[in-house]
Amino acid sequence: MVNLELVNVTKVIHKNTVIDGVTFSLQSGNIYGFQGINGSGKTMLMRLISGLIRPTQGRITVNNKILGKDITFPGSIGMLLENPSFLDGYSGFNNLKMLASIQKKIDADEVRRAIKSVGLNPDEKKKYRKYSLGMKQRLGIACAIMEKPDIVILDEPTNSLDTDGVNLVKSIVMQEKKRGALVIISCHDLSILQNLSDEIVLLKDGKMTEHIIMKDIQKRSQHEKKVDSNHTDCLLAN
Amino acid sequence: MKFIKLLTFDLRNGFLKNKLLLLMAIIFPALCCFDISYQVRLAKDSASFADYFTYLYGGMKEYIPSPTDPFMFPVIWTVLFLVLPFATLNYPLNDIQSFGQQTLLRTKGRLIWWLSKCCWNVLSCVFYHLIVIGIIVLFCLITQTELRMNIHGDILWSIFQIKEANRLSGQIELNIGLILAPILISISLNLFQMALSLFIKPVFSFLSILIIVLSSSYLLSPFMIGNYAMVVRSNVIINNGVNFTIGMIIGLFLSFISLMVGTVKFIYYDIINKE
Repeated sequence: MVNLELVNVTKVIHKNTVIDGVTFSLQSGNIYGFQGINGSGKTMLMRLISGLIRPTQGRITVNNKILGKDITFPGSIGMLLENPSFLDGYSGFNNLKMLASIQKKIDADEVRRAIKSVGLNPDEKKKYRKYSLGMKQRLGIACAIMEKPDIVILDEPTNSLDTDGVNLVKSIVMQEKKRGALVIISCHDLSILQNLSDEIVLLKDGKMTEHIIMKDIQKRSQHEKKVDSNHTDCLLAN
Repeated sequence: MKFIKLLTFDLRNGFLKNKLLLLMAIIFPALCCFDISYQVRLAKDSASFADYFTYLYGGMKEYIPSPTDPFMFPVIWTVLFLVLPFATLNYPLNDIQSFGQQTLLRTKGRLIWWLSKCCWNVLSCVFYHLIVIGIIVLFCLITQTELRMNIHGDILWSIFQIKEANRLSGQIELNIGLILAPILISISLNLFQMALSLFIKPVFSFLSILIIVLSSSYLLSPFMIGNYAMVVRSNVIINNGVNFTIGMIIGLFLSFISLMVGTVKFIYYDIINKE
């Protein structure tokens, strides 16, 4: 169970405020969608959450431990950030096996399973440099989920993917949610986010402009439908 | 265990797969050995391992500016000492922008990752110089040159035009300090470059090393660190030369400072693509 909290998080890089006073909290078993145009701060926010950069102001806590102070990185995290990059001279399987050997949480079979789950062949001898963009993206997703981390960050996971690939990403994200992971996903396509997310954070110029809780919207629309039908019934009765 | 894993990974990807570094470590000294053997044949009949080593690691005699004597930087020594920082320049920062982010998250700490890069850097330097020295030894064995540690005074004169060479018509012993100091200085410059890359663009940190190396050739001074890596500027060979023992201490000190400053900076370093 992970409880991630961002309190007034601000990041200034070369006098540019790239993230400006973002505050919200995230819990396990939910999918959070980050939406915004290019340069709105989605990737930067993900970098902050992953611990790769530190906030200039404010704090990020993971289970009440301050990131960058009490802990360097969140304890268990899988990440696909911007474009996936692996070692050119190795196959996809060998790349992931090498990474898995650092924590030794999973064995080679589980690496194979993760590669298969994204529609790639783990026994493929082809080196990473010869992978197509879509294959690279799929491998990046496999890398993010293979160790069953508590936090999964997927930055534009549908980039370079065909329709089948996009559907695969959707099902993977839902599986991760089911498993109890905290999933953060960013995407240009709002319909995909609306489809998947429990909460959507809209970003503009580094500021959080809106925080939409999908349940509330669904409740509201159901309520509106109900009110509408009652109103129609009344009209018909009259 | 994580550290060993990371270091093995760095050595494999940052050294064994570094074709430029390996090729230069093999081809360059081999070509230089052919060159000196040709020059020695013209000047004198016999040479030793120490003469070959001095030819590569010698540098140049003290430069005294004069209108008739334009400054010519020591090409062989400069190439030998710049190949290493050039070939290892981009690996750490390229890695942190790509695959390294994944390894970093899995090691859970920045310190292990950075120390692994420092060790990789030091070991790359050591292996590079060992390969260079190994090539010299191999060349000596093939050409049946004596593997003695004595530098011939007349060879010093013919190659470096060192005044004292006549006085040294006997032979000078190439002691262990004269071999170790250049390697240690090379390590310290490389660590300094890597730490500097965290503050400025890698290309500028390489330029800083270039300036240090070239200004050291121009100026014989105990304050110019490159002098401690030029065998013919040792006080064993020339009267006003620098003390290589002090050079080793300076090298160790610079390495330590670079390591500490780099570590502190990396702990707070923002891992983003600054381009």
